[in-house]
Amino acid sequence: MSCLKRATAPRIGMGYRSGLKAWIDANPPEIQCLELTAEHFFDGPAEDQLLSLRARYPLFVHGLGLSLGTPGPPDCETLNQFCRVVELSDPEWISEHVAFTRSHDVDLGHLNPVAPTQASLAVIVENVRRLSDRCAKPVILENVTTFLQISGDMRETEFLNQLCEHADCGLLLDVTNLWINSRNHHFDPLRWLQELNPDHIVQLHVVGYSVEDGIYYDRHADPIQDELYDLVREVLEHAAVRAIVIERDVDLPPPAALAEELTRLAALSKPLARQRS
Amino acid sequence: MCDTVDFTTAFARLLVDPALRRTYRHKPAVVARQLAVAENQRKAFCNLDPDNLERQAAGLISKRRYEVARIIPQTWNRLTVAEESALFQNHAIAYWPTGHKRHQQDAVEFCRFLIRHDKRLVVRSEFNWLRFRLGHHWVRIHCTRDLILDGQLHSGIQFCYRWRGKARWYAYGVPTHPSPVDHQQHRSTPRQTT
Repeated sequence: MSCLKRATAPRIGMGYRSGLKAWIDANPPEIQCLELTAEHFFDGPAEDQLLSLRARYPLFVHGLGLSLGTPGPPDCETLNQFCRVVELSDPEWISEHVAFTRSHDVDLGHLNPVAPTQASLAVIVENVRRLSDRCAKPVILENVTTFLQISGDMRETEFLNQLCEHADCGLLLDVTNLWINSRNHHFDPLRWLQELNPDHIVQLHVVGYSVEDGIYYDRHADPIQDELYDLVREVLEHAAVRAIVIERDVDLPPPAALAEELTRLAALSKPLARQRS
Repeated sequence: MCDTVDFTTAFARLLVDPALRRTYRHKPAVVARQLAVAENQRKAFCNLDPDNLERQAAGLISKRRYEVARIIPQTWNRLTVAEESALFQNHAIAYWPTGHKRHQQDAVEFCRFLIRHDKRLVVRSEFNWLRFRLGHHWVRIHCTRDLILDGQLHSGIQFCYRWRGKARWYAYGVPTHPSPVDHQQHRSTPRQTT
């Protein structure tokens, strides 16, 4: 996307979780940036906390419930709360999902895939523009996991490329989601990756996957597996990524274990950054 | 003239309605007509894989169940695995919470559902605390017989209050089934959480 300049090496950081507060407050050298989930700051006196984090780390704000795939504008109250978090934290960019969480009838509460059609494309492009105008920040969008592959007018990768071009937004490539979808739907993640325009990829998410009865899940509860580090390396060879964020939510391990994951991700990025510079 | 619905609306109706999914499995075109899915989105709607559709729908319920179990662990522990699965499923398909406090609302409504089913299943002190956190009161005082303090059941008084924007609670109680050590004592145990 035009307004985001490329860095030579990506920043490596964590998704902020209250269970990690003490560690993050100690400013460990492994954490170079933080991603805040907007909904975690909707309640309560968040101002001091956000201002403090903003003074110490480069921030990104990540949304879960704007439901950009739903026709019509995002829910007004949710958007207002999201923008308040953005104003207080002044992030480098904001992110949401290529998905819908509510329809005109019901709030499903979790991410569901959109159909890769021209109609869906028009809806999300319009909503990204609304969000970008309202928050005055660059927007990047994340690929989601899904049990359903919805047939439409184009392939998922073509849909994502067109979305980024028409909405002037970037891509938050969730490496774990790509891996999970490739396992559950039996496709080659590297081929999928090669179909993406590398210029669109701004940030990565990564966390370990879970497997149960042969089905892969994104429970955000596991350490990053070796296959995922390999896939991150492939992405870094394909695109000049600006940030990588570990998205651990459940069964938080001791900080030392997360620091080790951050260090390993940083080690993957450095040789590639040297090549680019 | 009949209004049409977009793909996401129709898809969401399938995800929340097991009976509609059963019909869809055998007659997707009939369901598309019934829901008046827009002509240009009908192909995408009719080509959903029924098994994966079930999996996606089950995933939504499963995520809700996980969050509710985290919010009301004491009540959850009173349910057998069979009860937990069947009762939550019955609750979840009839009620869809909304907004960013949806998981807490879901837990409150599940407690209400359990109370209608068998009020002994709900730990009232946990339910009181949850309702207080979701509400706007500054102070609530409850007499309750199911305070769990130090892993032991107590009868007592539960004070819920707000201080500097945060909800907190204290409780004072006496063991309901005194252990030999506590038998002669009239013990009072304060607790605070945020």
